[in-house]
Amino acid sequence: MSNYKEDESQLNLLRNGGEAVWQQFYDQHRGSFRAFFMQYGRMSPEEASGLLQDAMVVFHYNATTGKLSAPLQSNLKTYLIGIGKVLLRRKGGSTTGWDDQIPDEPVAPIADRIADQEAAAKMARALLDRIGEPCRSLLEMVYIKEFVMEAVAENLGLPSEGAARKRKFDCLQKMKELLR
Amino acid sequence: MHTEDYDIATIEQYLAGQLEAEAAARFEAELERDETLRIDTAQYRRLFDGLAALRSQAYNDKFAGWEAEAQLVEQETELAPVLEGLAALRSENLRDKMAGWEIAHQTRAPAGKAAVIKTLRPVFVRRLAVAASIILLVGVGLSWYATMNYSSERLAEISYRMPNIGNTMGGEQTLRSRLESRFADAHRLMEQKLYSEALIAFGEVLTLSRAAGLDETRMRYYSDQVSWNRVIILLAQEAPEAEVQAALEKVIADPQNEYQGKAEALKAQLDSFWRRLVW
Repeated sequence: MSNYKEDESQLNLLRNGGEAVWQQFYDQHRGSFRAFFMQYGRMSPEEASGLLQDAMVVFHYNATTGKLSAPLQSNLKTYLIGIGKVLLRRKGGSTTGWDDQIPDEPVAPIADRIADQEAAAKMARALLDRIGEPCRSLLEMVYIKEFVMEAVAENLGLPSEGAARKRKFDCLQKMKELLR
Repeated sequence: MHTEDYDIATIEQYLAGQLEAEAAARFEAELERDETLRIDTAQYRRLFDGLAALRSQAYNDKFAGWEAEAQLVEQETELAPVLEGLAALRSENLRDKMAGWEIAHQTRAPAGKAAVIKTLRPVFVRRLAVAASIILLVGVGLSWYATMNYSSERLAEISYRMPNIGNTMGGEQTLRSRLESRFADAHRLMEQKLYSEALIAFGEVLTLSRAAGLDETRMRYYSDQVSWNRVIILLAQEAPEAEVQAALEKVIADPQNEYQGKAEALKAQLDSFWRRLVW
């Protein structure tokens, strides 16, 4: 039986939800995250906001790719602050004296995941740079900008949603060949 | 043996956890049997992970936007006492008027009943009222300036330039002559601000330009024209901000596009402080 049922429901919403759900989550945790790092990390409000945005990028990746999934080991607020703590350490900031505020156990794998995420992004960017147009634009529209297929077809001047979908698979196949 | 066209969709659904339990079990059984499918699936997992990581990075801009919104709300909260103070000054102003009305009454009152009216308001309150009025006037002035120069309609107007179209000759209706004629139509419609019709005309220009067997330079000219004018049309039609930005990004992301510089300038105007003040 999980101790974090509500957080798991919210995580599910985030994984499948659109921008509005993410904005709500951002607003929900902004205050506590910034307050925490302003108090314990001695950061300015601007620095704390910057750290929050970096932490949200990592959180977004983990949530949408299923790398963070039920059963949760901590609530989402602790997890997000944990990411902030790892990021702060990576930037050379000290967490000595307040390590016990956010225990390392729930967030221990985060540091590895951040490195994986950076490597994955670098690899995908390199492949997109090599794949050429129109595949690059199409894949960016589908997987990064989250356009619906109808909008992709319209933007690329393709006759239908089906044609755009077919082109997407062709482009993915081409990208996979580049990976080899 | 698997056919890749079919499998990419299934692999994607499987990796995203979107296959029904039964279909997922079938797919896993297939994975056990088919080594090529196993290798493909592993490679697609890497690709989708990479694309997801880029998508998360792209969210950084959104987070920055939400941060700006949150700060604006905070500022409004901080400004609340000031706004309340201004409202109080407005009420004070009414009290001034009432005092004036009272004096008028007293002046008109029969002799012997005159009373001394003494205002308790300190002078600085009046000065504050004057200052508040000036702030209000400045605010209205700034907003007026922003609306005149940064509204969608105005930005569309200043972004649009009629190219040198020349004469569209009569005679044989080749694909190229139809293209030139439709291109001229599209720009006439832009000048008349008939944006929906212009959008259709530009769509036809794009189709005709692909079919007309043009050289690369000419193709590029029409393609740049269509993508840039599409941005202007979306802006003029006050399409959702995201749609305008997406069309704009497309122009900015293309270093060969003739309008890349203009698109960057337009983006700076759209993201500027003044846009927030537009009525």
